[in-house]
Amino acid sequence: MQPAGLAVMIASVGTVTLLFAWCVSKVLAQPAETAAHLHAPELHTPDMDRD
Amino acid sequence: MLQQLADPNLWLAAAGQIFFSLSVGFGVILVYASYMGPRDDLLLSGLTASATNEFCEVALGGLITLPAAVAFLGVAGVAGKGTFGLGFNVLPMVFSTMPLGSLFGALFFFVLFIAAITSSLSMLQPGIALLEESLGITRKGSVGLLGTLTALGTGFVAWFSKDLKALDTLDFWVGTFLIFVLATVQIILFGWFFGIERGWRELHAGAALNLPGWFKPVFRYVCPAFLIAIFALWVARNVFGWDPSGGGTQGSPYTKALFVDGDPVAWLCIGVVTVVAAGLAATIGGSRRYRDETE
Repeated sequence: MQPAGLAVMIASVGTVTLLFAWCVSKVLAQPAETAAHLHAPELHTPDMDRD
Repeated sequence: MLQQLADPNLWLAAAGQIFFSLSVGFGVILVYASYMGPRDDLLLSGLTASATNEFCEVALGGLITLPAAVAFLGVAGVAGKGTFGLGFNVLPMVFSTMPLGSLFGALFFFVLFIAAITSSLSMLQPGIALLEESLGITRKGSVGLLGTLTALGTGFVAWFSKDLKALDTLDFWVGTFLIFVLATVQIILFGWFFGIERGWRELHAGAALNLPGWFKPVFRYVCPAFLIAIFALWVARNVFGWDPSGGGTQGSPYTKALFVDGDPVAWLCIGVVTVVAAGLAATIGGSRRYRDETE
């Protein structure tokens, strides 16, 4: 592999890995009341009544 | 590498891939958005979902599939192969040589099947809701009608399966080109009609993060200009024959199949897409419910 290709690969893989790790740490660091807004609620939509 | 980066086909393919991968630019993102409450955190959950997707695609998928492909087929064998070839040609070779390869191969493709089914549910949901609301039919009727249309489309692809021509053609024009066009329309609507300030308030309602202010001109000017430039260069390259890469890259095989070779299967695919789009437009236009809501 050429040095430029290796540099691009390390930069791209490193960037997405760091971003992923930072996001996971941010989510896990949220207090309980804020974390409740990070996932969808249980929904009951009108079409469920019709069927 | 710079010659490749000057190829608008590469940029269009990359943009189409990331829009499809993140479900941006077509109905799926509307389905996911409909499950969000007004105080739910769009920013952190959206960023985390995107980062997880990129990590799995680039760091896991790319580092596993591409080295395996190079090991089995060599660099020349990998060049130009799409994700379809890498996934369905190369990985079976890898599984066939590893210990318990049959078991791991079966498990991998079963998980892939589950992933495709779950994605299909969210892809079909906008169509189900559209038929249900516009035709005033029940959900079961809508599922039956859409299932019939989907089966007809699948039959079309299976009938013209030689060299995967119909699948490949539809995948490019719908799964890359139209998604790119729709995503461009959406960012223009967001930045210029919905309004950046209004979007900013929606984005930060209940958010744990603060997006830096310089993202506003990115949404309003940079993203639309960037996507329009890619589109204009793609048209210039593939319709008018202008080559910014200095003759080092080939034009799109999909426009060549249509306008140079006059491939009947490629034209049939365009016909099918046009008929479906016209049918949906007529359904929406003829719907009393949508007309009443607009008025």
